[in-house]
Amino acid sequence: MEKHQAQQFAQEWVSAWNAHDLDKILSHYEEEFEMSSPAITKLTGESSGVLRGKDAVGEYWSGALEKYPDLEFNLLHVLRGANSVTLVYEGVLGLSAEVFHFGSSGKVARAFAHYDL
Amino acid sequence: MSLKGHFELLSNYNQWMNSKVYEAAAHLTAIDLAKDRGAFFSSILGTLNHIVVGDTIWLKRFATHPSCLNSLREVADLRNPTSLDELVFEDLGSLSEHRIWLDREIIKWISELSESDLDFVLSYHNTKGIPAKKRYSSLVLHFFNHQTHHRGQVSTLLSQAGVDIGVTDLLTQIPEETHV
Repeated sequence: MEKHQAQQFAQEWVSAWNAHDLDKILSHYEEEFEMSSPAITKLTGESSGVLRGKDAVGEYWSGALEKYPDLEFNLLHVLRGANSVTLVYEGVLGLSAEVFHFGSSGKVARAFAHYDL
Repeated sequence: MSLKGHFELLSNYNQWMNSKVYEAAAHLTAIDLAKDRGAFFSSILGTLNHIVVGDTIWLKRFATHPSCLNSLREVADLRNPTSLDELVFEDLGSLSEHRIWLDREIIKWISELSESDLDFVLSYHNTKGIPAKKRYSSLVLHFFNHQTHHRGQVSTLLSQAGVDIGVTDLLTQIPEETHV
């Protein structure tokens, strides 16, 4: 992954979240992507912390957007991997880091959220 | 001259012109500055405030470029203007002080950009919430053009009020070429 691609993804992803635009947020992901987050356990009770697919994750994120009407992400840093990106940002759960693995489609196949919980 | 070089020229021109405009405006009373003169943003004070409002809205969008997280960090923390005709500062002194700071931030931001940063496609939402994706370089050009457009209106209002701001040409800021 090139630096400009990582930056492009980061800015678009944060912009979509800050606009509370669920369709735009989901447009960055593959249909059957996997989302892993301790917040999933906290908010849904799903012990594995993992949800799969746009329907399930979309429903979870829709709830998060309702729960946090003032949600705003403040991007702090973009770290580039071979075929992955890590975004460090301030969000509703404080300092956050999210790792995105990209599939052959060029969209996110797996994402791993990390919080200072 | 590179694209970045042209934007550096415009950022310096903006600072130079603002210093002249605010110096000229300081010759007028507070009542004269706030007087409705039929301009799109009513008065000299209203138009100068609108330029600050426009600059703030755009700089906060530009600050979301991952390469600008540091150079525009303080600007990103500015409050979102409530409307395009908001009087952010109701007196020229406070407005002038903020303008001087903002113009230094603009110069710093442009100086830290790379040519490839300008090729970025910025995602943002306009003031009506409509999403857009446009080339960073084109948006920066719009940013400087917007300043010039409204500063020209102020120049006319000042002239009509009897104050001449003197030379305004960008040409005077373009360096002489020593090598052909």
